[in-house]
Order: sequence, then C-alpha cells, then structure tokens
Amino acid sequence: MPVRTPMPWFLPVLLLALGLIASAIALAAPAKSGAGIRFTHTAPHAASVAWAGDFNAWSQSANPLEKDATGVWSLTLALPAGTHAYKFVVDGQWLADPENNVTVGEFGNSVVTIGADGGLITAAATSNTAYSPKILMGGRVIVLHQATLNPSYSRYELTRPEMDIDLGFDIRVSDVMSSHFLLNINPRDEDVQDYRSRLNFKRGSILLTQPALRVLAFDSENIEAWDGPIALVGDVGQFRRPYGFQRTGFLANTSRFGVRTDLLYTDNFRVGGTEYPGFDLNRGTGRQFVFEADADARTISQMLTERSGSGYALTRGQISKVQSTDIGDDDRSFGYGDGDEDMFAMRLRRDVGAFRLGIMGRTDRGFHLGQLSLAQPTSDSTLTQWRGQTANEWFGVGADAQWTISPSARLHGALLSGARRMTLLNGSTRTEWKATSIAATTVAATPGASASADGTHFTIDRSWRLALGGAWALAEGDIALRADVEHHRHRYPAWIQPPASLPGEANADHPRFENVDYQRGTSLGDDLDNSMTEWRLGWDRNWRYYLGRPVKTSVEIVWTAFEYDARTAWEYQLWFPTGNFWLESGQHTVSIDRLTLLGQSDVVALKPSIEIPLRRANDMRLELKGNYSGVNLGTLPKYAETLVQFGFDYSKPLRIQTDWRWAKYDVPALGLSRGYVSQFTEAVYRFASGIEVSLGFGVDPHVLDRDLNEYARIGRERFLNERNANGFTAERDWLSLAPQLSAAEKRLQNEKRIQLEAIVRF
Amino acid sequence: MRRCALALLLAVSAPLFPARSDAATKLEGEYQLMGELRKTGRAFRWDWNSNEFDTFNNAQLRLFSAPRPGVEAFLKAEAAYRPNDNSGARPEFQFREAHVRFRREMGPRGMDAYLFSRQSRMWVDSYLIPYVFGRGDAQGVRLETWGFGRMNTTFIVADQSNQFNPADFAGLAPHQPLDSIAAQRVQRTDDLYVVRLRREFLKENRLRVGITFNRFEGWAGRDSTSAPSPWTSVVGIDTRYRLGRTDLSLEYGESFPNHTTGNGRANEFTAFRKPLGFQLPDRSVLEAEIRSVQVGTPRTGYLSVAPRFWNRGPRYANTLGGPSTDATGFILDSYWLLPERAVTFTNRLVRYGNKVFSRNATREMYNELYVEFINGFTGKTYYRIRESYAPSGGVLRKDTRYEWFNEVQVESKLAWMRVQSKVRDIGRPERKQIFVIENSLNLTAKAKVYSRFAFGNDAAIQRKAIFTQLQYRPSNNMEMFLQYGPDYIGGGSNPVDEGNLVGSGDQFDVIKFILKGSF
Repeated sequence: MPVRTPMPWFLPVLLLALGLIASAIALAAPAKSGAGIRFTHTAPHAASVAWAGDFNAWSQSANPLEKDATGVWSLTLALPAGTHAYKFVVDGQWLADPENNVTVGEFGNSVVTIGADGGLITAAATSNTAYSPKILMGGRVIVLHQATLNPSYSRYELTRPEMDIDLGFDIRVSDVMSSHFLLNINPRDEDVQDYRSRLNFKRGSILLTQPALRVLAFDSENIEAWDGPIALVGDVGQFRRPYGFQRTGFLANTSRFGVRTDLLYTDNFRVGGTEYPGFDLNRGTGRQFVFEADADARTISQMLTERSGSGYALTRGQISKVQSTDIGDDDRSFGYGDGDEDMFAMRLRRDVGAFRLGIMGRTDRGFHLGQLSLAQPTSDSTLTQWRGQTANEWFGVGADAQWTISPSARLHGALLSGARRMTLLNGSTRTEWKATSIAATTVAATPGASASADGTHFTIDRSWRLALGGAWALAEGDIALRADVEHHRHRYPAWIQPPASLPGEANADHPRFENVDYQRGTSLGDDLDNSMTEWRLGWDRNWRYYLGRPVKTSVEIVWTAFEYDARTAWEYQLWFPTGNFWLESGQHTVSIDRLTLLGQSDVVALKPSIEIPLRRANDMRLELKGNYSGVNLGTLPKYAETLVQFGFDYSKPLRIQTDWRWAKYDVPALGLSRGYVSQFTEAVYRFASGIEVSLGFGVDPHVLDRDLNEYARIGRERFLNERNANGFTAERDWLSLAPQLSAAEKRLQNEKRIQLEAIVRF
Repeated sequence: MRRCALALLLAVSAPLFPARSDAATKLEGEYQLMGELRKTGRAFRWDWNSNEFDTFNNAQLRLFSAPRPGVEAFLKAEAAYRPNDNSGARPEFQFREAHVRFRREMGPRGMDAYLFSRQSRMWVDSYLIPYVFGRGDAQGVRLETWGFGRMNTTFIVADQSNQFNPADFAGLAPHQPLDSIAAQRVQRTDDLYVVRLRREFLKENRLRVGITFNRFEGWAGRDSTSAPSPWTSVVGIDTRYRLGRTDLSLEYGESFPNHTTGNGRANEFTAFRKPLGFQLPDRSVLEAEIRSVQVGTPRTGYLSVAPRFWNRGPRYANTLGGPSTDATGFILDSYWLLPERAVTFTNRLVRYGNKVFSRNATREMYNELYVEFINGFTGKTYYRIRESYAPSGGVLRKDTRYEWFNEVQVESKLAWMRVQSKVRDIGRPERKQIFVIENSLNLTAKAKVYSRFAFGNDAAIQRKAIFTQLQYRPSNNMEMFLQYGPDYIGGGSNPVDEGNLVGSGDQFDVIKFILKGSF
C-alpha cells in the first residue's frame, strides 16, 4: 500500500534555497602578464624574495622580486615554452609558491607549464594547501537530521542529529612513497557527549612503490579481498565489509622469477583488548553471572565412568572440560572482543601458459580468548588436568588453479584445509590427579605434581573447503554465465554432556552471557561431521541490441545443502558464527533472509534483477531486485524480498528517487506469515559532484557504514538488526526470534521519518 | 591478480578526495601559552606554576573550505588545558563546532542556510518582546531568506543534543534495542522550532509587520510510556508604523503550553492601580512604545520623549525566550540635546509591578548628563533613585536606594585615561564608594602599557586592585603580555560596576606571562 508522504512546509523554501549559487573565489596564482609570466608572493616582513628555478640554474640572486607598498613581492619572467620547476627564496629560505597548487618531485618544487604561444597551460592540482606542496588536503562533512513520528503522541520528534566530519591528507613523501590519513569527528559514532567528541585518527597508510616491490603499511584501510576461487582474505561480516578495517598491518607484493608473491600480516585492534573471560562475569550492578564456582572440581566430577570389577573406573580415551570462550561476535561490545587476534597470509602464483597455479597459506592467532579446565584419564584411576588461559589458532593451507580457455571463458578450482586448535598460555599448569572415589556418575580426586603447561595445544576442529567453477562471457560480453560449487566440511569433537542450566540465570536455557560462551562436557573422541555444499548458477544479460537501450537482467540461483550430525548443537548450525568454522567468524553472517531458514537441510535462493533505463534525457531508471529464499523451488519461499527502485532527474540538479521494499514471510511454525512494505522517497539537490542536499521520507536504505566510514546500502538491514532481528538473537534465544523479527519489520513498515541530509566534499 | 592490483592501487594510491582547482581550503588556528608566578598557594613564594588556578593554554585549529561558490564547510577543534576544569588532565583535540552553509544572493533577494553543530544559532531579531533568546549550543538547521515578496523569513529547527550523555547507558542491559524504554530515555533530547516572518508595507516601508512562532518540546529523559512531554508554543505579532520621525511599535504575543503556570488569575488592565474592567488573555503579553516624540526649536534644543508600556499575563510561558510574566509597567525615556553645546541630558522614569503575586510597584528615576569637552575630554554623571517594597516583619517596607556616578575620559595618540567614581546606597549604613583610574600609554607602535587602579570601601573594609600590563604586538598575528595583578577585578567594560571591588575580591601578587599567536 503506498504511503503518502506529507509535504513539509519548508520544502519549497529549501528546494529554492538549494538551487542558489553565490560568487566565485579567486586565487592569485602565476598568470600571463605581457610578454611573460607574473609571479607574486605576499611577505610584508621579508627582507628579500627571489625566484630560483631550472630556468636560471636555481640561482638565488638572478631574479629578485620587487616589493610593493602592500607587502606583495612580484616578478614578471619571460619563460620559454616547456615545463619549469621553481621555488621562492624568502630571506634565504626555500619555499614553494603557496599560490601555485601544481608541484613535482620529492622536493615539492612548484611548476608552471608554458605553451608555444607563451601562455600558461593549466595542469591538475597536486596540492591545495599553502603549508606544504606535498600535501593534498580534503574532507567531507555529512549532516543528518531526522524527525521521527512518535506513535505514542502522534508527533514528530527530532532524533539526535548526526554530524560526521572527515579531514583527509594525501601526502607525497617522495617519488616512491606516498601516504594518506584520515581524521574524523562524529560524536554519535564515538558515543560520547557532543563536547567530548575528539578529532580521532580514523585510518591511514603508507605505500612504497618500487618496480618489483610494493609495500603497504596500513591502519584500518580497505585492502580489498584477495581474488581467487577461495578468497583467502575475504570480506568480513554480514555486510561483506572489505578486509582491512579495524586492522593494522603490512601488505607486500613482489614479482620475481615469474612468481607473484603476496604477503599479508594484520593485527586486530578491535575494542576489547586481551581480557580472558573467567568462569564468572561481573559487569556491574545486577549483572553478575557465575557459571562455575569450581571449574577444576567440575571437570573431574563430570568424567565418565564404567564398570570395572566390583567398582568403577574412569572411561579411557575421554576428554572432560569446563570452558569459557570469548566468542567476540558483538559489535556493540560489552564484552571482550578478539582484541589480540593477528593473522599472517601468504600466496604464491605463477602463470604457465593459459594456467595460473598458486599455493597459499594463512594462520590466525590469538582469537577466542578463554579459560579452560580439561582432564584426560591416564589410567583407570589417575588423570591429567590442564588449567589456564587459552587462545585459539587456525592454520590453513591450500592450492588453486585457473585455466583461461579464452578471453571470455575461464575455469577455476581450489582446495583449502585448515585446523583450529586451542593453546594454553600465560602460566597454565598441568596437574596429575589421583582419584579418591569413582562412582557411577561422579568422580573425586586429589591433586599431585604440577608443572607448567604453557604452549600445550588441543586441536578442536578441522575444516575443508573445495571450490570448482567457471565463467563464460559471450555476445561481446552482453551475456555472462557463471557456475560454481563450493563444499565446506567441519569436524569437531562431540560433547556428550550438553551444557547445563546456568545457576542464577532466569532464562537459563543457553550457555551464553553477553558474548562469552560457557561450556561443560565430556567427549569420547568421536567427531561430529557437518558439511555444507553450495551450488551457484548465474546469468547476466544486457539487451541493448534488441531493445535499443541497455536493459540489464540477471538471475542467480543458489542451492545450499546442509548435512548435520543429529547431535549438532543449535548454535553450531553453519550459518551461525559459533559454528562457522570458516575465517572471519567473529562477525554475524546471518542475514535477514537466512534467519527464516535456520535449521533447514536444503535452501534455495532465487535472486533475479532487472534494470531498465526508461528515459535517457532525464536519466529515468527503474530497477527491480528480488531475493526469494525457500527450501525448494516448488514451494512458496519462506522469505521473499522485492526491491523496487525508481528515479529521474526533475531538473539538472534535482533528482527524485524512491526505493520500496516488500518482504513477505511464510514460516507458519514461527508465526511469521505476513508481508511488510517499507519505502524511502527523496529529493536530492546536487550542487556539484560530491555536494548535495536531500530531503527524504522513510527509512533510508543508503546510509553511512560506521566501520567503513563510507555509504553502503545497508540501512534497512541495520534498522532491523538494531531492533533484535539478528543472528545473535536467533542464536541466543531462538524462541523470541519470530516476535523480534515481526516487531522489527512492523516498526520498519510504520516508521514515519523525515530526513534532511547534506553532504559536502571539499 | 590484475583485479587485486587495481583494487589496491585505487584503494591506496588514489587521493581520498577529488581535488578541485577552484576549491579553497584554509587551515587557520591559534595557540596560547600562559605562565604565572604568584605568592599564594605555592610551595615556594613566587613559584612558577602553570597548571593551577586560572591559567589557560590552548591550541585551536579551524578549517574553512569553500568547495563551490556559495557552499562552505567550517570546523573548529581545540585542545585546551584548563587546570581548573579538567583536573590537570592532558588535553586532547576535541570537537568545538562545525557547520555547512549554502548561500545565494540574487540582487535584492537571497537565502542563507546553515546546518550547524554545537553553535548558538537559535535566535531571531526582536524589538520589544524577545520571543527567542539564544539557547546555547545545539545541532540544527537555520534557513533565512530575504527579498521574496518583500518578506524576510527565518526558520530554525534544532535539537539540544548536548543533553545526550552515554554515561546514562550504564544501567542498560546489553543488546538493548533502540526502541526499548530505557534506551529511549537516554537518547531523547529537547527539540526547538522557530519561524519568523517579517514584511514591510506602504510607501517608504512605513508599516512593518512581523510574526514569530516558536515551539519547545521537552523530550529529554522521557520515553513512550511517560506522560506527554512539556511543550510550549508562542505566537507573537509585532508591528511598527513610522509617522514622520516617530516609530509607533505595538507587539502582542500569546503562549499555548500544555501545562499551566501561575494561578490563573486575570490579566486585567489597570490605570493608577484601578481595574479598568477589561483584560487580555492571561497567557498573553502586550508591549507598546513610541520612539520618539520630539519637541523644541533649534534655539531651545530638542527634547525627545520615548514612552514604553508593557502588560504581561501571569500564565504567559515562553521556554525559548521572554519576557518575564505577571508584570505591568512603563518606561519614560527623555533626552534633551542642548543647542550648540555637546551636552546631552537623559532622564529615565521607570515604574513596574506584578499584577497577581505582588501588587507593589517599583519606581526608578535616572538622570544623566553627558558632556563632550574640547581636547578629547568627555564627562558623564548620573544620579539614580530606586524605590521598591519588601516585606519585613509582617509589613511592607519601602526601600529607597540612591546611586551617584561620575566619569571623565580623555584620549590622544599617545595615551588614554579614564577616571570613574561611584557612590552606592547613599544615606544608608552599607554605603560604598568605588574609584577607578585607568590609563594606557603607547610606548612604541608595537608596545603599550595599560594600568588600572581600583579602590572600594564601605564602613567596614577597604579593598584595592592594582593591575598593570605590558602589551607587545610584534606583528599582526602575535601578541605578548607581561602583567602584574589580578586581571579580573574591575575587568569589565565599566570597572566601577565590578562587584568584587566591594565584595570578596582584593589585591594579591601575581605575575603572568601570556604569549598568543594565530596563523
């Protein structure tokens, strides 16, 4: 049902205002003057100013400037055609011309280029500051004001406005080295009172470029995913953020002997530091949670026993554990985070004819910090117990190959095998115990000799990924076909004693508190073996020859088949972060469409899209995108999302656009069986490239991604996620997922929001 | 491989922001360092210490950019070291204020829009009734237009986001949805709206009519289950008619709160304390002024008389501005310019009182003589009588206070001097005398010495304040001060109005060195 957008009273005035442009700003740069070029420099207190450059062999005395009554020094020089580098010499100090924003070389000399007619030839600016010719300074200011209808009072209410300010510097350190960094102010993002907001360092990098070597040192920069059938360094999280953000590290690329080598080292600096969650958690008043008061005793007492003569003996081959792990999957961290995580990856590639062959490896260390108490029997009545802080490590090695059959056809394949292990550190101990009583359901023991166990590790899972596929483009690229299959396999020990209820927790059906995962259990060494196979088939078509305009269509079909061991715990479903053995598992990967399909063994997603340019004259475009996910193609999808985007230029600077979403759920078992419509309509006034003001109504799907500091089409997903329609809710409290999901969708549908947004890039 | 290399190149090598040849971006700033020696409160007498008391060191950075004509971005960040404010913590560069601005002028018409953060732009011009005061820093939008249909307009929408304090989140459980009751309480802040329209009519714009609307919504600390927030709206109209050289002004405003103030008694007009039998709504204010009626001839000089009257209802409420409520009164200002003499005589007669809560008027008589002598000398003297009533011992007691002020001032290229005296509460036991001598001597074009000697005494104690300052400005963007004495005693524009002279302030030994530079 269409939603009527009320016309705010200030809209006409605002639109009028946006159309206005004022006077220009002029700079006193070198200019043609008579038979030469006139250079000026303002220095009222200087005793001498001279022009020195390649034209006069950098003489400091050959071409002095003359000072006028206002303190402006000037000189007109007849320079021949060509490029001339120069500087001013002010009281003996060398200074690039502050009025000339074109510079060259590592000394930052100013440059003018003279044409054959003796006139100046305009060149692209390399600097825009008067302080250093090597610096290009720029930035962006975003102002976002929103007024939301408060349904309780039927009145619009201003929400806390957002002002995001970037200040960036591109610095040419030398001809082979460049750098840039970005400072940011955003009180809302920083989550502080307005007056406490700081000028924060947001990200930066230094790049060394040599003919056969490129080294990038980066701090929270987008270094992009590594391409290939298996993206060894892949996108991160639900919103597929490029790798590099919230990480600092080095990336080196070399090409020697026909082999391209990529080396990457990163360190995670997400909030949370290197705390190791204990078996109790105290996070302020009323939030104390004790999981296990005596972990050692519990580890031993819960060990499995078996009949032995007239009594009982410890079951051999078993493992008993009590464990707390920082699962680090909470962006709004109240917990620990994976602050100590670091990663090293390497890839070697060589092209042999039409083939590209490569090997790769990656290791991640220091994530999922925790506490462990683990025991294993060494005889019928003795056991060894390990106790201490732990950190997880992951190792993976693999190979890939690509065969370029023709410029338009390609096949690829890759295999990767990995293992995750838990390592004891920081003064961990190994203690020999002797059982004092062994009964049918409980064991008691006394400790004996103890020794350091730092460095001891236990393998906790193994995983494999296999990817095969190909892509084929034909009809001059108007048709593209792609198909690939990817198989994931995950093996880990089966814990036969499920997590117990948690004392002190009202809703004690889940072993989690905040983002710490608590587990107790014993295992006889048999593994759970889960797998996921995903088939993807894609088709893109540009109909420009048939329809006379570039109408584009595409269809993607994704079929995912899961095979779970019946004993697999709920949170080890492969779309959950806990059970996601693949890398970057610290983020939720459960998108809204997947929420309705958790636990299914077969999932089919159909994703069609069509893009129609209706009128070229005013860039009128219509786009439709669908995401229909169900258990097979023959039944109604459990989640059907249709996006309709339409926009046109009302005038050259003013664009009107609207974005509709219709999401239909069909999961009666969860009580989800209705559709929700939401829309966003806006008028965008573009003053120039990068400078625009928009007035919109609805929930904007195109929002500033706080982690990336760039715009992304995640507004609706974020709206739903922030209202508990997310994987964390599904994982923590499955029973409340459906009410949370429907409440969030209803809120999205009913949200009446007026939005004024201004973006100024400079 | 190629894709990776290209992506890397784009991500790292490309400039963050597109450079424009016509973009103008400036970084400006200032830096101040202050050091002081003082006797009191130190381990050693005359101890150097710059992290105590009232030293203020700061570094300020201002960015100003005009990426396109008519478009402007502004940012101010500052690292300030205020020992008294931040307990001596090392300063960080913090956000001070910012705005983006869109401006366009088309001959007599134009518009100016600010989207601002932490700036005080919550004001509109007013004459008799101040419908909107400055409300301090806020985040909002301010749009002004002029010349369209001979009308000037101002629209302001602002949010007092400075009320938001994430420390209030302490009681929230993790993963609290944004719509939760607890989160709502923390995130809500007060909203402010202002509309100002003004248009001129008739020949030579003799009639000017303005309408002001403001609205305050107090959302702070409230959630969807709370009672509706207290909100107040005010609608006011102001008119000015120019008759010859006389302006006749009449302004009327009425408030519409969803909560009541006052006791609801009538807003009845009175004359000489006698009810006239008619009244305005008790949520209204009315003010009128004639400025001014002139009588006289070139020979006798001109006497200008400007009467002003106000009637303010007891239940009038304006959260964003004024005036005060429950009052009626008048001011009669008179000015007489003596012919062919640089002498101005000013008389002000004020009478005002409450309409409901207290019906005792306050009266004030003010007489001033201002003379411009030859050779740069000026002189000013005034005498003020103020009568008010205050309850004392169960009866109303009339309280009369007298005040006498004198000033002589002289200025030349070499020096400047001002002498002031004031006697307050004449004829009463708490009588006070205050004297101030200020002078400034230009040593060179770049150096100057400023001194101020202030003395005050009442029956019990005499206080003094001696302040002297060597000022050196070697260039336009730099200044250096070396000073002795407390600079804040008598530091106002009118030193004898400084309360500390007769209050708690007194002289103490302090030497300060201040260095300021801007770039």
